[in-house]
Amino acid sequence: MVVGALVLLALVVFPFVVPRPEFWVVSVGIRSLWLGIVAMSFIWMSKSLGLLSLGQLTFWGVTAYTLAILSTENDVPYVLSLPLTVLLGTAVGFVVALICVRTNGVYFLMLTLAVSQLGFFLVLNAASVTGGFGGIGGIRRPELFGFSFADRNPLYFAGLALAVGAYLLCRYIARTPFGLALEGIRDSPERMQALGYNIYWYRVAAFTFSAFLASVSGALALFYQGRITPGSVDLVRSIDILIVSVLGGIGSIAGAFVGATGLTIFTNFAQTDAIGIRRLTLTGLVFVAVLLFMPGGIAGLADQVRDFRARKRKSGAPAAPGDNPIPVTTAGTDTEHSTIEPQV
Amino acid sequence: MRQFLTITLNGLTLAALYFLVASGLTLIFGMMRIVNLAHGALYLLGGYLAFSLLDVSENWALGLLGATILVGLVGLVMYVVFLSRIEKEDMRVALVTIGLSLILADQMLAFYGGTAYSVDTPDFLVGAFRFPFAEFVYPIGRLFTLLLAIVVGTALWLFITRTRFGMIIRAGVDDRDMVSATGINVRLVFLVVFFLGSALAGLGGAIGGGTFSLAPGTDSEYLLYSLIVVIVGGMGSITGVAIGAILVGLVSQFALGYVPALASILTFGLMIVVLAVRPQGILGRAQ
Repeated sequence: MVVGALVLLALVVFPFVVPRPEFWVVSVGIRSLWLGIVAMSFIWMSKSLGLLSLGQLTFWGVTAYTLAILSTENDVPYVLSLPLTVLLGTAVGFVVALICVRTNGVYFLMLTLAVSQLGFFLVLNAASVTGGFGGIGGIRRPELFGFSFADRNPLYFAGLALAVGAYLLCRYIARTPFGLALEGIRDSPERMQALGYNIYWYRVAAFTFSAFLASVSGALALFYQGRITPGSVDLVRSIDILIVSVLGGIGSIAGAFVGATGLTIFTNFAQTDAIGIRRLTLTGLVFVAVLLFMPGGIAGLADQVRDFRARKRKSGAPAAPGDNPIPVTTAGTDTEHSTIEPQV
Repeated sequence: MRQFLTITLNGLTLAALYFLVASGLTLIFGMMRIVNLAHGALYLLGGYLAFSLLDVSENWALGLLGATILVGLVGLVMYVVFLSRIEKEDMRVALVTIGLSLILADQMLAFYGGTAYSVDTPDFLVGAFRFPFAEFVYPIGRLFTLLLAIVVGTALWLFITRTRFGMIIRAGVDDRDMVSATGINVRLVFLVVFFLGSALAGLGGAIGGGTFSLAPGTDSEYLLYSLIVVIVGGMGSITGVAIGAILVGLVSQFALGYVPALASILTFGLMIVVLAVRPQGILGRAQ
């Protein structure tokens, strides 16, 4: 709690004290915030459903594209178009959820990947509406309730407010009966079904909420970029979200922002040719290395070091099972509900 | 009538290419429960290698064979170095293959640049085949793809259903631990399967690079179509892949021919209809 307040205080003071604000507040700050929110939608789904979705950019893109089309080309006021497009992104998430949550594990991964790729080819090919390869540019930043978000600081604070709000919402939902039921469904779907929970609709609801978070991020990202192109919803971008989540640690919601800041800073500095390897290759190498050697990501690093020390002391003791935040499809190996527990 | 025939053949030859690529994906998944999301990158690598080998040796068959074997070896190295130690964790493996596909695609971009390449086809595959009816003609090169897919598909089917090694693969699909308990070296079987599956992606790239172009982005396009094909047909089944490929090939080509604006939506619609009825795909087994 104290740590959280201090971090928040630092983030509020940050734009006023930092040198070169155009770089640190805009290129790093705002970008990390929207990237963090969409990564949070990924991590939240992974935490509450045990499913990894590569389709988060689809909902992000639906909101960003429709917002650009409505407000830039058809002059619909933002007061109307913002809620409408976020709602639309969420609704598309609901429809995709109806199909996707019927599957599990790697099937779900493949299916959501296929959805995001189809979204990419759709916006690329429907040039008459989406502007094709060049996308839609010239996005005006909004003026809402007397505030103008055209300057960098208001947009940064709007992003920060959204990020904090989304984070608190995730934390809150985890404690509601709904969140607890999701946890039960993730760990033991058969038992929850036997208890009378309709696991299908719980999963659809969780997926839809995650799509809502991604949509919010899409609106913020549109104002940050000032344009939207198919290049921002392609496979490499989906992998970016994955990298952010894995880097931050898939088990931790706040880790999304750690990972997002890490990737953003890394991307900015890698562009200056300070490093001899190509940026994407290096990104891929870091991603693979984190997956192979640091399954908990940056957020899980402290735990990992502690485990490592403890293991060294009790040399030879195996790592505790169950601390791997990346879900595993355990078809048929789940012994938990095959044993009959004694009645007390 | 002629247009209908052309579209049908377009669909079937495209299906042949999808089959070549996706059968490798499903072979690896069926045996090892590994979804290799670098499969599209291996396809593109196969195409580029065939192009370069043809450039050096001026022998088309050598380029084809070389690309197939080299891509198989790349897949093998990928498995041994990165995947074998974590292969029990299917999601982590899938994520690692995504990272590998990013590295492969970026290195290919660095080496071959952003321009589109095409693998030159030999003289006997250039020109049109004249059907004995309705004065109907069709490119020989594309018919060859269809023939090759039928040959490869039949060979795969015979290999899996009629040989001792295929028997081990089928047993491994059902119960890996039991197979290894009977004294069979499952490790070795895994290596062969991974080589074979990757080699099929390479062969697909070498063939597809002759009919279509090779450029950055081709990798994710073929990954997408392979995924749709195996999702529709059912993971792990070679026959399922054949059915999935034919459905996806025909639907996409007929959509392009008659309602071009809806082409990608209809392909997606096919996937949704199949999944709504059978979440595990047409020939997939229930999880």
